[in-house]
Amino acid sequence: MEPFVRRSHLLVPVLDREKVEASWTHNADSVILDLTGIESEDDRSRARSLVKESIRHACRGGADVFVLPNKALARADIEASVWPGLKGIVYPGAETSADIEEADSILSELETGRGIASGVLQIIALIDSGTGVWNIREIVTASPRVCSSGLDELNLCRNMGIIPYADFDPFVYAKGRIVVETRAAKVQPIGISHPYGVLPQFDDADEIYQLALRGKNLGFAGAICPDPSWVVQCNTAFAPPADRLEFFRETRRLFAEGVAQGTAAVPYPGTTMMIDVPVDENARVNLELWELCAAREAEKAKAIEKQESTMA
Amino acid sequence: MPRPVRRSGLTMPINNPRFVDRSWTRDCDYLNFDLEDSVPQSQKDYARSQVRHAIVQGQKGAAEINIRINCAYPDADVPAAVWPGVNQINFPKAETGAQIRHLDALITELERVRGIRPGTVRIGATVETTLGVANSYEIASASPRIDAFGGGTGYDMSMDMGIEMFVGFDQFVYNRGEGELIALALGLEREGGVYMSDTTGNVGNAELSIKRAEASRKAGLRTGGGLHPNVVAPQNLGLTPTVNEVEDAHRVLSFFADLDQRAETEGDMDGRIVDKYEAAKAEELIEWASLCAHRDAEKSAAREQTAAELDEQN
Amino acid sequence: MRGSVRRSWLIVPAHDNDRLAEAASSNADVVVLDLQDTVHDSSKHVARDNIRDAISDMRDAGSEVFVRVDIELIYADLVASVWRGLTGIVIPGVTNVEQVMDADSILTDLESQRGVVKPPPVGDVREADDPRGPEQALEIHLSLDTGRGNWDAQQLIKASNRVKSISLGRADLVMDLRGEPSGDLHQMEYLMQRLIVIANALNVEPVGAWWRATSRGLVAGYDDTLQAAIDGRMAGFRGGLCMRTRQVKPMNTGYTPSADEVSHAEEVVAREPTYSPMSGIASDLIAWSEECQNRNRSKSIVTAQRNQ
Repeated sequence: MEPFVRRSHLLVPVLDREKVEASWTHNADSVILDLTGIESEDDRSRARSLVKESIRHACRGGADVFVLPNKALARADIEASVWPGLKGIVYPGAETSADIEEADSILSELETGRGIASGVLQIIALIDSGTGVWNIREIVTASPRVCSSGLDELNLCRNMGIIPYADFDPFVYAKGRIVVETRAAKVQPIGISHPYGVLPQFDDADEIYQLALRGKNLGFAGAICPDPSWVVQCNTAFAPPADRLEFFRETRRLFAEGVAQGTAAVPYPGTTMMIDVPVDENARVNLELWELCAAREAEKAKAIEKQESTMA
Repeated sequence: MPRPVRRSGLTMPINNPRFVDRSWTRDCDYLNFDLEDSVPQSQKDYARSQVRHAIVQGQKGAAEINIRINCAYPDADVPAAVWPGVNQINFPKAETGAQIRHLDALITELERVRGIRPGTVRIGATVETTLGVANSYEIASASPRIDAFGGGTGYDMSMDMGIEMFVGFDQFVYNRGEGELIALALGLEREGGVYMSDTTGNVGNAELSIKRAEASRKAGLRTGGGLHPNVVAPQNLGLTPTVNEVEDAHRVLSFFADLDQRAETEGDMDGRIVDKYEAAKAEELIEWASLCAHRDAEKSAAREQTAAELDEQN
Repeated sequence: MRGSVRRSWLIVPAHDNDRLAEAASSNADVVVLDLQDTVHDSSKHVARDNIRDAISDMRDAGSEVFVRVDIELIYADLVASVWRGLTGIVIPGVTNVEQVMDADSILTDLESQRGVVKPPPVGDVREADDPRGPEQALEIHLSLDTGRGNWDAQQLIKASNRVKSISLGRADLVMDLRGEPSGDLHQMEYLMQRLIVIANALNVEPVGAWWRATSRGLVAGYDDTLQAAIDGRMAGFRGGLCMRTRQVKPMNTGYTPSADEVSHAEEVVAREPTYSPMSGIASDLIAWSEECQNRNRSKSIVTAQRNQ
């Protein structure tokens, strides 16, 4: 899969038309249109009928648009969602490779039926059970469509009989496993640090940033944002730190010089640090990610420009 | 074979004569002569030619000799590395059992051809990527030459996970957990660490090293290693039982012997519970202390001998 | 939804009449009659001889009864244990599937020879012609206290349908996990959370408390035990093992939702839509609280009957 940047996935309920219409204005890398949490059958039909239009709104700022279907009613929800402009679906509560394979074939059918290029639709696998955590390897490798994985922490609490408390993180093992197995498969793990996965808050910008940063330092590449207030914090936290760019560039320059002169370790002036292969490699990886993030911002800016010019 | 003592060790580029020629003076239990990341591409061939010299230098201080090879070209590195006197080949960035099996086969052939007793040369497999963590069990169980294993942490691992280290919380709970559990399941020495908050990332801090080593010893871990000479003495000290601890262990053993005589399984010794598990820990501590003392004597004697020989030459 | 209420599993040496008498008035949800670590080899035969009567004493006192066997002596230990009133056995030190299957088949033989089935919940009476199905098979609880046992936990649990619950047992001692500067035991967070994930995946009950390095785990004082139980509940455990009768009360308390928690949960249920996970979590808490009250009540009934 081509490298992609999705630091923020803004979650937007399809039935909330105001939120849907504003979804493209928050600079999120991704928007997830939420079809869950709808009680009545009538409301569900209505929601499905609104997905196509909602995708168009959500796309306007250049975000990658996904739909989160109901687990139990996945087929009908997915059929209502596969339209041009859709990037993929979220699979809620994935437990086995068979789950992903089934979703994969539904998507293939619909791609063919609706004139969408074969294989482009992606899958974000969300885990909400012990079985899913245990089977994470087979889940993330079940299909080349799987682009990201994460924990649906509240439903995971429910299914494991865990009551969420701010002071106790019950998912250190689960998150560690998701991060390791997902990255080993070259898929992106998404999540945020405890307690915001179970007890999200929206009023303290610094705390949101700190927990997103902590999430990045656990190995997550991005997070689901239940509210627009998280978007800018996630976009910043999951990108390389801007104030280290100069250091990374200088590191690469000095090391290249050193290699040309035949050494394998170059001191970084003014520090006790030695630059060797891994240090240089780390600088390279960070600069690469920085470029990708900058490109993502440019893409989104271009989409906004286009909007403004069509509206003008 | 008695349990190896590997409290302290230094990794150093083998192509640096200054480091190699002084390596025997560092009082390391083992030396890790590096053909990998600290040696530039242009010097790899030269580095390979330096192994026999490094063995001689390292043995002047009775250190165990390890050679860290490149995971990308074992076929070129192993023949250069497996000579009489080498104790272990370190394989970095291990990701599959197949890599280890291949390495084992290379080593086996060289032992045969060079007249080294079969099984002498151990393999140290280091996991430095997420794929390595995921495949840890198959790696650790791939060869009987592996006698120790631990979790994947460190610089390369951090890169693969996309994280910055030294940010004030434990980022490797899962990785260390898997590595140590696998070591226990396979009966290997646990190469572990105790998390201690460190936001400096300073590799040469003696004070922090001793705290870390003591914490590791108290948690039941026995191995160490590093990059900077400043950590050697703290690790040797911190990972060796104190005289008081040894005395205490003897008390525990005789207390337990009495309990057992009286057909009891558990007793209270000055407010501490003593049972067969405490007795086992005490036995291990006494044995470990004795192994450490023996190791220290070996190293001392070797250094003295070397110093005497140098005097004679001058 | 889940199994019986088993907040406290009190391990008591089966050869020690004084400790057995204490256990019978301890109010433990489960009494584990020990034939393993707390019984010296020279006392094993005395311990085994005590089991049959001890089982009915503990039942009369309102506790469920398990026997902790020694895996090296499992045949003799099971022969001594499979009597009416026994709910199951605790097997520590399991490292391979054959051991579990062996225990399963010895239990099958003894159940059949002796006409023993798992008793109904404490306080109920079993009618002579109640149907006998797999739900009446004696249970196995696996105490996974070794590296191998934990690594292969999945296979071990699947090796027999009798396995209904698991714990780390005395992993802190067997695997030699000691205190770290943080006050936690080395590896414990990883091992406990891993156990809970596996238990959930295989639909068995995880049992355990969040012991810290400050006290020697299963013989901690009141406050440490209460905290270990509270933290254990937050991790997803619903009961823990202990080794002293003074620990039963804090264990029962720690694993039971408080009145505040219940009323807060009721508010959540009233406020949140029923499909929301928060609402589900809250109703599960209310249900668990009711099950705990039922368990307390049935214990009182049984002891009242005994005291008449």
